[in-house]
Amino acid sequence: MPLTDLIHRHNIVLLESHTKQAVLEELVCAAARNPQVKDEESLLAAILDRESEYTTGIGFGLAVPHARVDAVTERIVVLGRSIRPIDFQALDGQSVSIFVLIAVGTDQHKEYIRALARFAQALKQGSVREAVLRASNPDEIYTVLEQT
Amino acid sequence: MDLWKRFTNNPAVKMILLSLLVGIMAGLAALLFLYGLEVASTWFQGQLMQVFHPQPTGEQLGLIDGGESLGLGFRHAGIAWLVVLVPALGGLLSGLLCHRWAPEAEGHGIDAVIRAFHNNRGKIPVRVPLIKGLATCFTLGSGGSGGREGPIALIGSGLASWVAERFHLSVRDRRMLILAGAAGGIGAMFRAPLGGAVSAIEVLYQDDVETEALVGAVVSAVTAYSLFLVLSPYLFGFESPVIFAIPEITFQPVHLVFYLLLTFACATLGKLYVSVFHGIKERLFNAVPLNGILKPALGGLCVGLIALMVPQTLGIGMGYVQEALNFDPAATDLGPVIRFCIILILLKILTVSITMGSGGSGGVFGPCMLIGGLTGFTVGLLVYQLQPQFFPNIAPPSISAFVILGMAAFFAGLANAPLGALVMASEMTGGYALLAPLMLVSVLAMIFNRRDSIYHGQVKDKFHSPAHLCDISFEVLSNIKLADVYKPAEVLTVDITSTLAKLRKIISDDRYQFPLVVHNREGKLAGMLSLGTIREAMFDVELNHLVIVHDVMTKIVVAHLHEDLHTVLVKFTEHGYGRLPIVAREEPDKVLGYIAYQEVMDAYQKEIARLKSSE
Repeated sequence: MPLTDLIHRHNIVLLESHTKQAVLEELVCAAARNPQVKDEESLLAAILDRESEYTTGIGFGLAVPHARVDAVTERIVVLGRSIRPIDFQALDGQSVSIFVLIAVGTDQHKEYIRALARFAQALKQGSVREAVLRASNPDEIYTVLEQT
Repeated sequence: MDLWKRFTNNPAVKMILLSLLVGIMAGLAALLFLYGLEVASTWFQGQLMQVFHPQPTGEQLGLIDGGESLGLGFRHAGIAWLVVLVPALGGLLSGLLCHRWAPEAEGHGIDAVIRAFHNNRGKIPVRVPLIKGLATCFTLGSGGSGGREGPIALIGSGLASWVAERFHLSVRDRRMLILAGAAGGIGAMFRAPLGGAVSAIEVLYQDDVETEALVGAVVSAVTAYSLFLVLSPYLFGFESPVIFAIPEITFQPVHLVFYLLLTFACATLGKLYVSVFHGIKERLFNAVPLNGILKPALGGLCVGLIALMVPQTLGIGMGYVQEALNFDPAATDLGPVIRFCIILILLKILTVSITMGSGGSGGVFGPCMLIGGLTGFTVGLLVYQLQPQFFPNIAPPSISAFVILGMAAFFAGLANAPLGALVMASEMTGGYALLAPLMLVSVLAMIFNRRDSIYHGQVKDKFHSPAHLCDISFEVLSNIKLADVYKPAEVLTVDITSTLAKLRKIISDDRYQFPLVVHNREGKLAGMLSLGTIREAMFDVELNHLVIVHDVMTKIVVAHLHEDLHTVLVKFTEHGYGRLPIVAREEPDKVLGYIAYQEVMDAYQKEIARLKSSE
């Protein structure tokens, strides 16, 4: 199944921020436009809390900030691509350009693990990452995800 | 409306008001049921079969007219082929009704009430009282052998269950209310309000009483009884507050010797009755390869054949108790009467067992009154005959006293309900002068027949009733402290930032036990990790460094060392873990060991065994 069954077209954004904190805020802001996010501040706090425990920058220019939190009623996925690579304290030390925010409700354990695994697996493929980086707008990124 | 709300906000007041309502319904149901029964008896037995039974003095309904009543002697009566076939027809109609619409209504109703109380959360479908009433009218009206207390108890309980449903009562309150319904039905039908209330709460157990239901049962029974007394003159034309009229009786302590003899006779017959009653159902009718609809008809046919020889075995037979109470031993040759009574007692045991065992609808209390009363009568006659030779200086006890004591002793032994039996016997006859010997014979009969009960659904005591499982487990578990059962053990905790890759290594180390306890950077307990929650992620290498313990842990739940095992059990059931880490109140972040669900159960079993052995 393509990744687009996990993400809505309007949740793919081009990021304007230049710092890790600002990127996370921008991603949460995009997520908060969806009705399944009840409380933007709590979601941001949960994402920052998780990030403070251990980085979600898993290498290859990819970060998957995520959280299970009461502020979300159903799974929400936001993909952001920054114009310039950002220092995200990733595990391989490289800067990050592709960000996938995944948030679920506290009791949606399976959906959480499955979404994390599918995005991590897909975006670790160099060809997919390159296609996402080459895309000039969210629609093109969506088309890439449709084929993944 | 506000007043109603204010009343119903108080649980005790609410139960009293509902018991009052149930009492009104049970009283009306008893009137209607008695009327239906008499109409059916008049038509089937009086008009078709031409068999006329005597009636108790307080129940001269006046519906049967035109024939000479049978007495306590051998006599053929009725149109033979109809005497055989009409009970079979009644059985067929009863079988059709019960089998098709309410299988719960088959047999004797008290057992159904007992089972509903213990095992069915007090639920009795609303169709059951309706079908039970109709089926009993067909069974007993057509000559089937049985009584009315079981059906009216089930009818009262069924109506109470319906009321409980309408008022959204808790399971506990519904259980209490169905007992109030049974008490109301019995109290009205037998004009024995206290007897009805006491029997309803006593009959559930062999060695216990459902005291919590007493208030509701009394309120309902008194209401139903009063309503019955007010309306029965208009419906039936009788006004007597008691069923049986008795001559004046005085109690002399020396007569206890004879009453002990009577108790022994009742207990022996009680054992025979129980084994025949259950044997005929289980070994005969359960084994007959016949449709359930037809079995009561076959039972009716057998009863009809027996009635060709002794027609007094037909129907309820309470009138023969009145005959015994009125009997003047000085005016009759006693030999034939004694022989007839022995035959009638044995045949009545047989016909009741056949009617009930085949699936006919009726009760066992009425036959107990007849069999017990006639046993008392027979023993009384024997004492009357033999006493001048052996105890010439003692005045013989009244035959009526033997009849009343026989009724109580026989029922007390069979139902394991000595209080209800003695109060019922007193109220039905007005024979309060016999309270002391009634107490003695009832208790002794119960002791003799302790292992035999006519009611299969009866349990030993509250310990053995699902209705009290929660109370008992609460009582037992809340008396055991976790500190008394826990075993100290080293518990290794997991860091909240451990990655999935590291977690795999941890799991392979058998010093770690699930659920894993998670600590944060400050060393405080932060969460728990059960195998079920990480199984999905465990074998996905893509998640090796993306998922850490923080992502998959759940909220920490601990058992505190000072808590009792009931509190711990609640935590198990609320959170679904098989084991919980234990901490002390003073050091909430130091895990002292684990307590497993199974250990709580083991402690419960041990405590139950200890309590039983200390009894």
